[in-house]
Formats: sequence, structure tokens, C-alpha cells
Amino acid sequence: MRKVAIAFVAAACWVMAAAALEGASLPAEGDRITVTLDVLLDRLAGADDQVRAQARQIIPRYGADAVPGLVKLLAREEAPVWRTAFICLRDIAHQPAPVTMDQRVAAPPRVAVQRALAGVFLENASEALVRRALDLMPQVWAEGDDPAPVVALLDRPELREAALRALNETATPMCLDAVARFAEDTSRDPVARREAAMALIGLSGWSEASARARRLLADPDPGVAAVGARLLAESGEPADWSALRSAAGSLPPDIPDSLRFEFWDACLRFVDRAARAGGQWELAMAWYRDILASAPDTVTASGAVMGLARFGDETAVPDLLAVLDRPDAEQLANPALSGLLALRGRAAGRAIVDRWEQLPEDFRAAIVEHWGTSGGDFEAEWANDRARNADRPVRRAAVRGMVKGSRTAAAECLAAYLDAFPDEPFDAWELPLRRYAAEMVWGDEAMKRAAALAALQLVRRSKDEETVFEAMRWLKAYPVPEALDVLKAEIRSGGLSGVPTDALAALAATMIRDGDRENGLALAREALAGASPENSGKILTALTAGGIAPELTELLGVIRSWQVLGPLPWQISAGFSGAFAEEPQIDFSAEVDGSGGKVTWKSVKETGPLGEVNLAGVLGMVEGAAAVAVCRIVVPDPAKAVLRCGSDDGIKVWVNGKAVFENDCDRGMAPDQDLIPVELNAGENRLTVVVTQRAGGWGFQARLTDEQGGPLQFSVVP
Amino acid sequence: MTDSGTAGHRISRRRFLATAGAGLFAILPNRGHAGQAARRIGPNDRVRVVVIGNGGMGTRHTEALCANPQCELVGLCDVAKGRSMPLLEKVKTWLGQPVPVYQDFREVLARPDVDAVFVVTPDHWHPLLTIMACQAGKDVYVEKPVCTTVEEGRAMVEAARRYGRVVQVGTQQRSIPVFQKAISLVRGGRIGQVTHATAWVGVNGWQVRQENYTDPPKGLDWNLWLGPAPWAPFSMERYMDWMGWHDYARGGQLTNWGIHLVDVLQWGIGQDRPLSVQALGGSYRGNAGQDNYETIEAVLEYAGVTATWEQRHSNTHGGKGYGIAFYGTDGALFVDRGSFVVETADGRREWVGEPEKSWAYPPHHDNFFECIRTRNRPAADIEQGFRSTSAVLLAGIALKTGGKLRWDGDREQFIGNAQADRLLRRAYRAPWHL
Ligand SMILES: NC(=O)c1ccc[n+]([C@@H]2O[C@H](COP(=O)([O-])OP(=O)(O)OC[C@H]3O[C@@H](n4cnc5c(N)ncnc54)[C@H](O)[C@@H]3O)[C@@H](O)[C@H]2O)c1
Repeated sequence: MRKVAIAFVAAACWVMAAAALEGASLPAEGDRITVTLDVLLDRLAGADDQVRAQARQIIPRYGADAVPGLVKLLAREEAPVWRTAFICLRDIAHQPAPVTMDQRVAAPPRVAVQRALAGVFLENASEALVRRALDLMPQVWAEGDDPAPVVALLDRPELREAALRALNETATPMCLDAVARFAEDTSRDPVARREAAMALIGLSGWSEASARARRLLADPDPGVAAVGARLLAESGEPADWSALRSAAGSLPPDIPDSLRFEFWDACLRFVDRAARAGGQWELAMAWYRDILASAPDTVTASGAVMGLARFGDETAVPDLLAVLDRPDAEQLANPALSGLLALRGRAAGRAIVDRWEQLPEDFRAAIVEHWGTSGGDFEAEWANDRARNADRPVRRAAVRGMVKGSRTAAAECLAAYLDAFPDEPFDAWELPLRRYAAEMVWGDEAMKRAAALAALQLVRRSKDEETVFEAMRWLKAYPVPEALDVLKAEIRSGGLSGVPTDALAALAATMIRDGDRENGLALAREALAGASPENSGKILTALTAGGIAPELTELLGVIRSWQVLGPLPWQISAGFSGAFAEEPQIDFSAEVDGSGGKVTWKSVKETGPLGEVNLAGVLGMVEGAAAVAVCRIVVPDPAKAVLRCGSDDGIKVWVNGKAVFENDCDRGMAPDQDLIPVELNAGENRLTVVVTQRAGGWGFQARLTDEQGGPLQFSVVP
Repeated sequence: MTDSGTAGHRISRRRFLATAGAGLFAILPNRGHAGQAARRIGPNDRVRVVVIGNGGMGTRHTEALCANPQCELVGLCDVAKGRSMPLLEKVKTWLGQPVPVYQDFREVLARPDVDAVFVVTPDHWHPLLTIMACQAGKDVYVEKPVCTTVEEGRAMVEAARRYGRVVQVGTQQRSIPVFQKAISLVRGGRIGQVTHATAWVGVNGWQVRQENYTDPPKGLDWNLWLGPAPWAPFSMERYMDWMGWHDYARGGQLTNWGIHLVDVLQWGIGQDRPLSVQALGGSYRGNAGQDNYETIEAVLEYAGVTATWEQRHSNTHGGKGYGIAFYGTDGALFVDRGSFVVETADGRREWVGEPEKSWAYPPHHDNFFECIRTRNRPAADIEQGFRSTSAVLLAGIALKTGGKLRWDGDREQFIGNAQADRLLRRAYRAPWHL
């Protein structure tokens, strides 16, 4: 059933492909029947490249069934044919086992490929076919598959390299065991044994690895023994150290340097592994010191220096510095510095700082740069200190490192540095600073501020239009006081749109609070003038948080004096349709029936910075009540204006006796919740407000602006 | 797959075996060894460099290095004298004097006065040359892709760290302003949260061509050219078009351009280890026997981002014949070596970078020389170059295995796929070993 289905699908694909190929001419009906696996294999082996390409796509769909035919084609002389068969076989070897829902696990198609290739190895096939089969082996042989037929090929010199490669890449324990056995067999040609031994390198996952490595290390052939050393390096087991170390230390003097180096390189690898594994750290450090003391050359010594640094702690600092006093210091200075950079941990950092003045200046510069980039807290703090206080080269390096490391303080340090050294070319800073700003802009407030300071440097100093454009965006996203001149210029040129108004207002408020009244007020004025009506509330909140200056109150049109009457009886169910359908009667001398007894008009002159009137404070805590508030506004000329009110809870407004707005709601108060367009007559206008109280807080706020939210010229008469 | 089994192969291989000899030190590991680590470069010293591999890219590097006041070219090296000798002639005009020429890089590594080497060979030599140079105490600039398998790349990083060497990778985009700017926009939120990124190039043209086996030209040490790769007979097609063979480069355009572009992609999304990878492709117009599929679509999954690698005919995505695109919640950004384009709600802006000068980009060289002095990590440090290379190598593996491969980027293994894991390493031909 399955075969038929696949054949059908394949045939259908073929038909479509053939149709595409031949353009207009439709496939003959016969194709549907005649395109079988055999036909496809013929097509794969034929002369037409395009037809082969289509067969190649379809044949792997036959899975195991296609394997015998493909293996035959793998033996063919023509490269396009055997190569295509090779790829198809590889595809098949990687196909998953068929999925069934009854938990029966069918054999994956790989098994069929494995059996067919084992046949190739056993049946004395042509050398070419054997080589191709060897190349497939690593994708095909599973743990339990016997590599013996391939191992037998090790005795054929012309195939040994290919067979070793296949066994190495297959790397099942059986494969490796066979290779090790070959390498250990002293009756064989030493060159072949060396080749075999080298095919074991890198396969440390093998449980037998250490035992075999020990045997090879003891081999009389120096080439095999060197590989043994290298294999043993991958064990890192303390018990193996003395054998490895003494092998390295007792090499005959006539051995080539490069071979001697294999042994010492193995020692370093061994200790690296031991140090990394943990649990034997002290031993590892002692071993590095031993290598450093007895290394035959400065490269090996470099490895020991780096080991002490990479895996060590503050106790390594004296070792690293001591190499600078050795006769071969010139060669060891690079690893010593690299080592100082690689050391980790606060105590190590402190140990370096304790010897700071002993270090050459280029070391100091390199260290602060590195610490700025990637040091821990202690190191970063030191870099920060050097970035402000050191001599120019070290200071510059520290700032660079801090910029690279996206340190919050970097932007400030850089600004100070650039100010201190006006001859410093900016070019080299430009791109690192951009990267810095881009990374910082996502962070917390302090990081955003740093991004903005970096952006400010770019705006001020970069000559690149695109850089300035982007930097301006970042600056607008977080306007900082330092950028006032730039921002004001931007505001004047109408470029305010990208600046969050609340950020701008916060900036204005901060400036006012910090004593820069004039600029702060100017900025707030410009911000308010440019802000959309919806944003003015945000601006006000920000200004309030900053502590609004009296000058601003005027600018904002805050209404600060009212006559207030209440609490008056009011029911939720009535809303503004009952007692307050019409404007209440205004008679400041009248005594009226309130919700808790007689009430009279009170004058209110104490409001919050935005004109907030706390009715609960003025009239007492009540529930289910209303209050009336009245003031008189004088304008020189008729004006269209916007009354901006906040209230807790509902609010209704009359201007000169005419109802202009009502909002019967249950809410807490925020500035400018309702924007109410009003028309004012020249001279005096009466503003009447009713504020309802359901429960909890009770109050309102009002200010009057021009239609755009900018200042309106008016006065309030008591 | 390696290529073998022709009559020509058998003949030249026998010849090779006959000359290889079997003396006491034959087929011994031999790394070339100066016996001393490179000196510390003083403030007034120039870094002494040798360029290993004097083909197309090696020539570019050499020209740029001859003009760079920070360094001094002190040698050329190529297994093919036919490559180094013409370059030497140019060097004479650039420097006004000759430099020594080597055929065997081990002689370069054995020179104690050489501070750094540029590894500009075919890819299969990058790992070992880098490792051996570190083991000879030298700093290294290695061309991309840094390795052909993940295991090699990790070994390169380890060698650099073990011997305290600076290793810069030839992913020069890291030093090119247009990319630095574009990436700062992506990272700085200009297009919002990036959830998709793609890198693309035209069709994969590197193919195994019909070979004509001959004796290697005079002056070419073919055995040394092959190095750790499987032995194969010489053909000019192989020597010139090595990028078509997986023995020397694992993926043609996928690894050639792929590493450059995926490096930028990973840089932009701030991640360097995919969670999973899957890939499809084929050579639909013929050439079915190629390991390098012409048409490829690879999907790499990262935390919060899907990324694709696309190779096809007529591939001019976003008006660019190759490039990288980032797609975010607020817009898209396209970048290549010439310019970048930002498309956001407030319009489309194109910013032109510097005109592309040389792939041997002097500021990238300068960054290397500076780090040789400061021992700080260079702009394209080997770990990063390795991680970018591995992303495309993984895509190449997925093309071979099919299916979805889950990647454990910390352990550098696939999750639950031992068969695919075997493609993460390769055997080396003795006497070469990692
Ligand atoms: N960064 C870039 O933009 C960029 C651009 C082009 C190429 N590249 C990279 O540069 C490398 C070289 O590319 P290419 O186009 O110059 O190749 P190429 O084939 O033109 O040159 C390689 C040279 O290396 C020589 N060689 C091989 N093995 C050697 C060895 N062991 N020792 C010394 N020399 C050896 C060869 O003989 C050849 O001359 C590749 O890895 C490629 O990916 C990078």
C-alpha cells in the first residue's frame, strides 16, 4: 500500500515537473504509469542534467527501497551520476523512521543504507566505490553497527587515510577501539601507527580515552607518544599529571622542537581542563607555576601565564608581574598584559590597583580600557575614577572602555574629557558613541540620561548629517538640561514634535526648581505653546511634580479665587437634571438650606498650583451633595478660549448664564480632564460651576487658555 | 563528499606516497615553532606582519598593509610560488624593496621577529593556521569563514585564549561605518522591536566542475595546499574553484557571503546562538550532484526573532542584490556595504555610506593593530567570528540532514541528534591535527 502511494505521489510530482519543463506540452498519459523507481534511477543515471535534477528530488522519497539501485549508481564513473546518487543516499540516511500511532518503531531508512554499504566493504568492490562508501559511513553507522569491514581496510595503504577518516568521524566506541588497537600494535609500520594514533585526537567523550592515551604515551615511537600526550591532555585527571609532565620533561635533546612543543602544549591543555573542571583548582595553579618555571620556551610560558590568569585569582598577580623582570620579559609582556586583563574578581582587581604605580603606562591604559569595557563593579569604578583623574592617555583609554562597556557614567566622562582636551579629534569617538547611545536608550532613567548626553555630544560635534539626525531623535526622547540650547533651537524651528511633552515639562520644572527660572519658564512657555491639548495635562502634571513657580501660574491661566456655596442637597439619581438643570441663583449675601443645615457663600483664595480647590476641606466631608462655585473673568476683547477643568466627581459649567458643559461622572480629579470651548465677551463674564459629590474626595480645578492651549490674557475679579 | 577514484587520482596518489618516505620523523605532528612568543610592540614600533595565502584576497590585504604606517610587511607566503612571486613584484613597487617569500608557512611561524600573520588561504586551512600561529606566539588576522566545522572554531577560540593571542576575523563589516550606523538604529529602537531578520544573496554559483587531472604546476606544493583535507589529485579546477568543494569550504556562497551577512544579522539582534535551524534547497537546473545547492532557504530561530538566509536567482530584495533586512514593530531597515534604508511610518530614508573601497578595509586592520598593543578584544574577535560562522555552518548541516535541528549553543551540540552531531567535526589528515 505504502509503496503504491509513494509511487503515485512521485509520479504526480514528476508529471508536474515534466509539464513545467516542457512548457506547453502536457505529459502523455503513459508517463503516469511508466514513471517508477527504476525509471527514475535511469533518469538519474542518464545524460540529461535537468532530468537528473528532478529525479534527484524525487528518488529519496522512496526511502529504503531506493537504496540498492542508488548504491549501484554510486559505483559509476561519471561524476554527475555517482555524486547525485551519493546525495540521495545521504538524504535517505537522514530520514526519520516512519511514524506509526501504535508505538511500533519501524527501522529508519538509515539501516538499509548501512547494510548496503557494509556489503560494499565486504565484497571487494572497486576502490572508487569503497572511498565513496567510506565518505558516507559517518552519516550511516550507528553505535551498534560493526565497523570491522572498514577496520580491515586499514591494512590497505591506499585506503588507510580514507578509512581512518571514516572511523574518526563515525567515532563509535567500536570504531575508536579498533583504531587504538592498530596504533598500539608495535609490530606495524610506525608511520601507519602514527597516522592511526592521530585519528583519535579530539574524541574525548570516549570512555576508554584515558586508558588508551596512557598506553600510547608510553610508546617507544616519539610520534605515537606525542599523540598519547595529546590524548591524555583531554583527560585532565590528576592521577595522569605526573606521567604527562615527566614525559614532557624528559624528552631526548635531539627531538625536533616542534615535537617537544606537542608535549608541552599537551601539558597546558591538561591543566586547563583540570582547572576548568573545578575541584582541583589548587593543584592546577601549582601545575601552571611549575610549567612557567620550567617551560622550554616563551610560548609555553605564555600558556602558563594565561592559565594562571584565566583560571586564577589575586594570588596570580605577583606571578604575572614577576615575568616582567625575567630576561625574556619582552616576549612575556604580551601574555602578562593579556593575563592581567583576563583575571576576574574584585580581589584580583584590588591586587592590581595596589601595584598600579609599578605598571608601565601602556599597561595601565590597556587595563582601564578593558575594565571600563567589561570589568566587574570594582574594576569599573576604578576605570571611572581614572576616566576623570588620570593623565591623558590613561584617561582617554578609560573613557573609551567605559563607552564600549555602556557604562552609565561614560557620557559624562567623555564630555569632561572632550572639554579638557579641545584638540581631541572627534571622529574616533563618533561611532562608538552612537553605539553607546543606542544601547543606553533602552535602560532606566539614569541610562536614558546618559544616552541623551551622548546624543548631545553627537549633535554638537558630529559633521555627519545622518548621525546628527538620529542623535537629535534620542535627545528629544530624553531632553536633558544640558541640551537646552539645542532643544530651544529645535523648538523654534518647529521641531518639537518628537519630544515627549511631559519630558520637556519635567525639564522645565527641574530648571525652575534648580534656580534657572528664566530658561525654565521660557522652555515651559514654548512647550505649552506647542503642546497639543491632550498633552497639556501631562505637561501640567510634570510641572506640578517639579513645583510650579508663581510666574507659571499666571502663564497657565490658573483660576485661583472663587466664591463657593455648599454642601447643597443632591442625589445621584438626579444628575444635572433636577436642582441643577438651570444655573443656580447667585446671591452672595443669601443664606441657603444646605444638606446639613443653613449654608452661606465662602470666599476661596487658597488653591493648589493648578487651581485645585479641595471642596471637602472647605465645605466638610459629606456624601450625596453638590457645591456651586462662581468667579468673574475680565477680558479686554471678545475671545474664544478653552476652559480646562478637572473634577471629583461630576461637573457642570455655565458661562454668562448659558450652560456650556456637563459631565455627570464618578471620578478622581486630575488636571485638565475636560477641555471646554467657551466664548467670552469683552469686559466681565460670569463663570458658574457645580461640582457633585458622590463619595470620597471632592474638588475641582479650572484654568483658562487660548484655543491652542497657550496663555490667554485675563483677570479674575473677586 | 570527497572526490576520488579516477584513474588520474590513483596514479598521482601512488607517486605522492612514494615520495613521502617513511623516515623516523615522517608524518609527525609538526607545527612550526619559533620557540618564542612575539615581542611587545613599543609605541614607536610597527607591527611586523606576513601575509599567508597570496591569492585574490591576500593580494588585497598586502596592498593595504603596505600602505599602513602601523605595520611593516616582512614576508609573503603561499604554497604556490606562482601566486607569491607576482605579488612580490607588486610589493617591490609599493615598498621600494622586496620581502622574503616562503612556500611553507612553518618557516614563517618559526621566525621570531614576526609579530602577526594574516591567514588568507582557502577556508580549510583557517583553523589550523590560526591555531598554529597562536602556538607560535603570534597574533592573527584570519579571513572568514573562520572554520569549516564547529569543533575547529571552538579550538581556535581556545588556542587564542590559551596563548593569550589577539585574533581578529575578516568580517570587516564590524568596522565599516554604514553597518555601525545601521546597527545602532536597529539596537536603538528606530524600527521598534525586531522580530524578523533576513540576509540574502544571489544564487549559489560555487560548484564542483568537471576536473582535468594533471601534475600540479611547478612551484605548487599541492600536498601542503590540501593540508588537513582529504588527499585528492591535483586539478586546476579544484585549485581555483575550491569554494565548490565541501572539503575546503562548507557551503560556497552560504559560507562565503553567508558569514558576512549573518554576522551583521546576529549583531543587529544581539544574539549569536540560534535555538534551532532548518533548511531546504536544491540545484534544480541540473548539477544535481553538487553539495552546494543553488537555491537555499534556511530558517534560524533565535529568542524572539525568526531569521532567514535566502539564496536564489534574481535576488534583489529591497532593491539590493545582497544584504540584510531587519523587520520590527515600527518599520524595516535594509543594509548593505553601500547604504542603508530605513522604512518607518514617517517615511523612507536612504543613507549612503562611504563608497566600498577594499575588502581589506584599513580601519579593520587598524583595529587589529591597536588591539595587538592593548591586548583588548578586537572588533571582530575570534569568538564572535566563530559564532557567526557556526550559524551558517549549522544551516549547511540542516541542508544535509533535513528536518529541524535544535541547537544547544552553550554546549555546542545539537539536542537529541547524534547523527547531525557528527557533522560538527571533521577528521584531519595526518600529520595535521587540531
Ligand atoms: N573579507 C572579505 O571580504 C573576503 C573577500 C574575499 C575572500 N575572502 C576570504 O579570503 C580567503 C582567500 O580567498 P581568495 O579568494 O584569496 O582565495 P584564492 O584561492 O585566490 O587564494 C588562496 C591562496 O592561498 C594559498 N594557500 C593555500 N593553502 C596555503 C597554505 N597552507 N599556506 C600558504 N598559502 C596557502 C593558495 O595557493 C592561494 O594562492 C577565503 O577564505 C575567502 O573566504 C574574504
